[in-house]
Formats: sequence, structure tokens, C-alpha cells
Amino acid sequence: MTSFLALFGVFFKIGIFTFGGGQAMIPLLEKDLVVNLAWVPMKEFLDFVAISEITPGPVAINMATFVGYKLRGLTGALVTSLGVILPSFIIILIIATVAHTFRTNRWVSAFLDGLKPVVLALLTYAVYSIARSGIPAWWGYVAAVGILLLILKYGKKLNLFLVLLAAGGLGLLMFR
Amino acid sequence: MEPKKVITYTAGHASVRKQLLLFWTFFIIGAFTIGGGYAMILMMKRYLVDQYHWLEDEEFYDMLAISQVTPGPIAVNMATFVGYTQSGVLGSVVATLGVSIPAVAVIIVIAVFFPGFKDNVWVQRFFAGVIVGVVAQIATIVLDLGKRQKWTVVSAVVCAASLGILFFVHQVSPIWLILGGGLVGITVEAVKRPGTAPAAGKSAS
Repeated sequence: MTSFLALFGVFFKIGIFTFGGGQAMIPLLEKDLVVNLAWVPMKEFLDFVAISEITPGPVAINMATFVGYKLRGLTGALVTSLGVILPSFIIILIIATVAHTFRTNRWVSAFLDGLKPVVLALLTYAVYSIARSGIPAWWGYVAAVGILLLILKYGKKLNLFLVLLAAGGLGLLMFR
Repeated sequence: MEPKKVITYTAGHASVRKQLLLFWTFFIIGAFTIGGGYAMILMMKRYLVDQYHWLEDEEFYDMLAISQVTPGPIAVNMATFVGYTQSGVLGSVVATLGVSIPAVAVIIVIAVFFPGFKDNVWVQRFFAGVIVGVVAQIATIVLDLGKRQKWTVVSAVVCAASLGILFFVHQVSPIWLILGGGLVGITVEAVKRPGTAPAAGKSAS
């Protein structure tokens, strides 16, 4: 039986090395959980990934909960989730205590200005890759453009939840 | 940790309400983060910037940039930061728990009760529909960021080069692009004449 400490350790390590959001973590998880430790068979791992992507919450936490629950039940799920959250929590807490605002240091400011165009590129690419892998029919793209125009036109008056729910409802009706 | 009783007329009055508000706001954000971290940027901005004014526009996008160079999910980073700046360490704990609990709870429910969840055709159709909405929301953020960007020759080249690498070089970790962009920013600042340092730099000293 896997010890809680080992569970915590693996996810803490993964939490430290996951830069740029949860998707970046999937190859790391696969290497550790499937190949090195052989805790989860590949097929089950891919199921976990697929479910994590369509359930609420950050993918990293979804995955941690799944693996923890599979190996050591409810306590295991809490241990792994805590393990994957703690590194980013600690790091951001340190940053937040040091700088309530980031614009007081010339070099930090220059660094942030320099990476803004990269963030823009990453988000642009995310639009492309999520649309390509997630939208199954041509009219889905039309609907996406329609929703974009709605958001731009009505701005802050539009409730974004309802937009997502309506989009989901549309999917129920239209996708085959 | 979350007191259920209403505490009135104590020194902690406003603070407890603030903690609950932080918890609830991030709980909602966590509950609707579907399809990856980028999906909820627009919703976070609506709550954190437009509705509660916990962050300025500029701070929000700074924090988004910082989330790219620090480990962990963007929503967790944002929760920890906003929680701390709004009400200290307890606030950061409360907000981080709020954003994490939906993710943990939903997976436990699925693992216990609905092992066949993913293969349900209605779930798949609903999710495909939600993705359409998510794509539109990320596109909104892209347009907003693009409008806000101070476009110079350097930033345009960095943006175009990053896009080129993302589209044509597969398996590249975003962290290298991010660090590269940051280094370009620092280099640009370093080659400026000392007299032209930005106002923000001067106010620090």
C-alpha cells in the first residue's frame, strides 16, 4: 500500500514543476505515475485526464484527487490535493508579502512588460488548440464567434455563467 | 474554519464577512473553471476587477503574467494572491480552499458514484457546447490584452515569434517562451539610457 507521505511527495514535486497551468502537468504526471511508479495503468490514466478536462476545477487538482482516491481513498484524495496546491500557495504567498504591487521595481516591471506579448501569444494559441480539439462541428465555430460578439456588445451586463450554461445546452441539442 | 453563525458588532465583523465573500467568490470561480485554466480568466476579471475592485486592471494582467512564471494552476495563484492582499494569510487560505474544494468534491463524487461519467453521450455533448463558450471567452481576453498591449517593434516581434514557435515547434514548454520574453524586457530596459528610466523605477528608490 502506498504511504501517505509518498503520495504527498509525488504531488508536491509535481506542484513545484507545473509552470503555465494544469495542462503542462499531464506529461509530468504520466512519467511519474504511469512509467516510474506504476501506480496507475496507462488506460486508466487517460480516463482520468479526459474526466479532469470536462469537470469543474483546475485540472491539476482534479488529477490529484483522482489518483489519491484510487490509491488511498478519501484521505488519500485530500493528501494529494493538498500536495499539489501547497507549492503554488507558498510561492504566491511569498510574492504577495514581498510586493503588493509589482510595479515598484524597475527590473520586475521590465520583466513583466517583456512577457506580456508572450502571454498574449499563449492565449491566442490556447483559443486555437482548444477550439480545434474541443469543437466537433463547423457550426460550433460560428456559435463561438456569435458568443464573442455578444460578450463584446453587452460587456459587463452579460452573465458569463449563463453564457456557459446556454452554450452547454446548445451542445446537448445540436452536437451529434 | 468557516463560521456559520452570524457574528455581529465585534471587531472581526467586517473581516468575517470579507472572508466569506472571498471564499464564495473563489468557490464559484473554481466551480466554473471547465476546460483548463485559461477558460476562467474572463470570469475572474469580472469578479475581481469589475465587481469587487480587489485588483486594478493592470494588476490583474500583471498577476496573470506572474501566474505563468510561478508553478500551479492560474486560479489557485490568483486566489492566494487576492486572498492575501484583501485579508492577510487567513484570506489567502480561505480563497485557496474556495477555489480548490469544487475540484476535489466533483472528482470524489464521480469516482464514487459515476465511474461511467466520461462515456455518457449527454455529458460529452454538454461539454462540447461549454467549450464553444469557453473559446469565445478566451478570445475576448485575447482582444482585451491586445488592445492594452503597448505595441512597439520589440513587443510585436516577441509576440509573433512566440506564436510562430507555438504553432510550428511542437512540445515546447511555455516556460521557455515566458522566460525569453522576460529577458527581452530586461534587455530593453538595460539598453535604455539611465536618464530614461520609467517613473515606476524611480519611485522605488
